[in-house]
Amino acid sequence: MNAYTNLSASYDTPSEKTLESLACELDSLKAQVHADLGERDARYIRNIIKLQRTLEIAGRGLIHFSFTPIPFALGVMSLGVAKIIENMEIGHNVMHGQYDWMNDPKLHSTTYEWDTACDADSWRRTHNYEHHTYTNVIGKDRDYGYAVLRLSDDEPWHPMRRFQFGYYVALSVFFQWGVALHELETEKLQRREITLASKKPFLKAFAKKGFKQIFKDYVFFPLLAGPFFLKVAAGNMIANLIRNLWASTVIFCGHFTEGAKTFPASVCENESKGHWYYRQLLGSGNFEGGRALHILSGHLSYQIEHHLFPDIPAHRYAEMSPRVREICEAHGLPYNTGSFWSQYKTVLKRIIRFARKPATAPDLSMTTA
Amino acid sequence: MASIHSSSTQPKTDWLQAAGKWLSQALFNTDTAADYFDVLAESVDPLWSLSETRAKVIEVIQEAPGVVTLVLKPVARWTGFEAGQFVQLGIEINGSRMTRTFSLSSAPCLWKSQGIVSVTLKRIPEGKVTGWIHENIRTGQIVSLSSAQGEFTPPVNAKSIGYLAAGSGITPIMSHLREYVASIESGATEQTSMVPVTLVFYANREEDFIFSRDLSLFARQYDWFTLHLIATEEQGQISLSQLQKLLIDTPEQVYVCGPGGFRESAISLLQKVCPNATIHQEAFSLSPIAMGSSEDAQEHQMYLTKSNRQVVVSSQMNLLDQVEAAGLSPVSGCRMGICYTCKCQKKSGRVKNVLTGEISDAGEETIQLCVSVPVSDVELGL
Ligand code: FES
Repeated sequence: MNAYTNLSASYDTPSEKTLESLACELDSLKAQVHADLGERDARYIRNIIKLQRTLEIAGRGLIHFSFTPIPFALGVMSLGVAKIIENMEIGHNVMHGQYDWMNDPKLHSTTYEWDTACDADSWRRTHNYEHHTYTNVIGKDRDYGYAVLRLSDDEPWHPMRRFQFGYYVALSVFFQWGVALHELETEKLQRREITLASKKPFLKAFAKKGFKQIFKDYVFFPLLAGPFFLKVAAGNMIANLIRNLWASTVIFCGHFTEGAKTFPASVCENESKGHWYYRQLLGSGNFEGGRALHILSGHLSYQIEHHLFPDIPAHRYAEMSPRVREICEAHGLPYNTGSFWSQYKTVLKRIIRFARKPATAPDLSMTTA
Repeated sequence: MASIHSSSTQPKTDWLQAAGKWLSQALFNTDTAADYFDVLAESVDPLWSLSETRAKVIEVIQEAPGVVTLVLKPVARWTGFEAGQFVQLGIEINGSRMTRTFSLSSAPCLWKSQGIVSVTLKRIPEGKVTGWIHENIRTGQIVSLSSAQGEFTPPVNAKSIGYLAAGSGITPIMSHLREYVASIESGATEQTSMVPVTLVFYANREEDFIFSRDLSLFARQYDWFTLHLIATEEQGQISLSQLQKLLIDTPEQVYVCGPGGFRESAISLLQKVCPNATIHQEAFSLSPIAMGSSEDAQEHQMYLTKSNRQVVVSSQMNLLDQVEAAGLSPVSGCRMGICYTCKCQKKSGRVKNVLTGEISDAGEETIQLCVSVPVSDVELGL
């Protein structure tokens, strides 16, 4: 038997009635938290921004003025963590519209721009829309394996897949650029389903944003240091690398753990709210840890809650999670969680497992239950 | 002079501005450096916001039932105002920022000499912001203050001035009167050189007259000022015979401020009483903006590109309300077409600006959501 639940093996939809009651209870939980949003949440995000600014300024200062390895390393760590917090807890969450109700132009989903190579508008299209709508639907959710990894038997195997662990490492190292180029849809370009010309506006935006990011970390701040140009450039590079590795790890833990299911494209036709919730629930996985771990992961450690309620301020997920668990139990649905390491181990295993040639060719005619 | 000046330096400042914006985006991922450092500055002192001007409430005065005056001390870099102008006042209410437009009721002199300004506001039934201010505001509260706007300012040369005010419409007029008085008291203007000023002030009941004590005091103290307080519940609404009797000086410049209905009847009467007078009225309406007549009610499709949502909208309601009804929270401010906070990219479709009556092209352009109603299917970049 396949340990990795996939559509052909155990795609077993609960009854319409169960899904209806699931939607009803999750909706009411959301409404309850939504009504309670206020000063506490505004204070929370401002404090996080304050922390991020402090860490970034301290990090850049230390990298600039350090002459021995220890302060330099501290500076790099500090800048790396600042970038992580900015991307995960501020940028990602603000762009989901979690703080739109504050009516603060600086924290608004439509205008926020973040400290990474990916252009915010491109992200809003590929992540907020594609990924969050078609979560784990093979062929529709391009975040599933990022078009470079095969993570389920529903995808055909190819000899090049043998080296996919290497692709995974490379993707993690250059994660910000991978995300930035996501909208290019290289796999579709290769298959000649789309033309490069149609991607021109995207490429323009990509170049504009990418250049700014390179200018900051590899031109402006290094130049400020004069003769220590290389030291600052190297420090910034390591800080970016730290952020890349961490962001990639958190995101892989979100959807590619052992328990995370995939779905055929046919489920999206006339999908009910209840089924959408069900799919979000089964396609995501949480990991447990301390408060710092949650903040550093932008509360994507509560990936399940995030996918159920993408526009509720993420720091609320912790208090919503016991109730979500209860609702899952009451409806006989699994709640995929575990410690950070145990979840991450299953991700690595999954990448390795699906790199191997399957014993029997998978049946590609996906059938719905 | 002015044109030479602007043509030679405009491109240069534009270029500098664009370069500054680019640099800030590159270094801080924000359009201005102020946006990046703001949280830090604010945490030291909430008045130190770098991206907007703030003010501290130093006194709250109960003027009349349902009317309060907030005495504010703005930061020194606030740009000041002329009598009769209005500002956007922003307050954070339970974590969310609300902005509304109010006329300043104090004299510009007071700002110049002591750095103090005041706004006077009436509680609007069901009004979220005015309601909150009436119940919760205390001294020490920090608010944000836009720069002053508006053309309802005192005349430069007039032989006589008339004012017609209704209810809280007195506030910008009070600013005028206080400025006249202050300029006499400071000796800047000779008492004898003041032209006659007549104020006809309407309110429902005796107790509803805002500033009645100050106004009566001015009337007793200064010959040039004539005051008529008209409690409409006893003395009836504004009428031709009444105005003919009260405006004996036939003013050259007349200022009208009050609710929309009042302004309309006041202006049509004034055209009979003093046909040669220049009439000024406060452009922003204190009552909800009329969005169009009910006969031409139509339904259109609205597509929101960034959030990928499609909803049916009516030609009877502004797009801001309808986008909010669709579950989004676009940034907004005054909600009456003044502050441009709600500006948004229209990708396609035609909209009507309810303030100007202008109907847009179908192409891509920036619109103000709060004063735009759809006239065709529209696509917005939200
Ligand atoms: S909200 Fe002020 S112009 Fe629309």
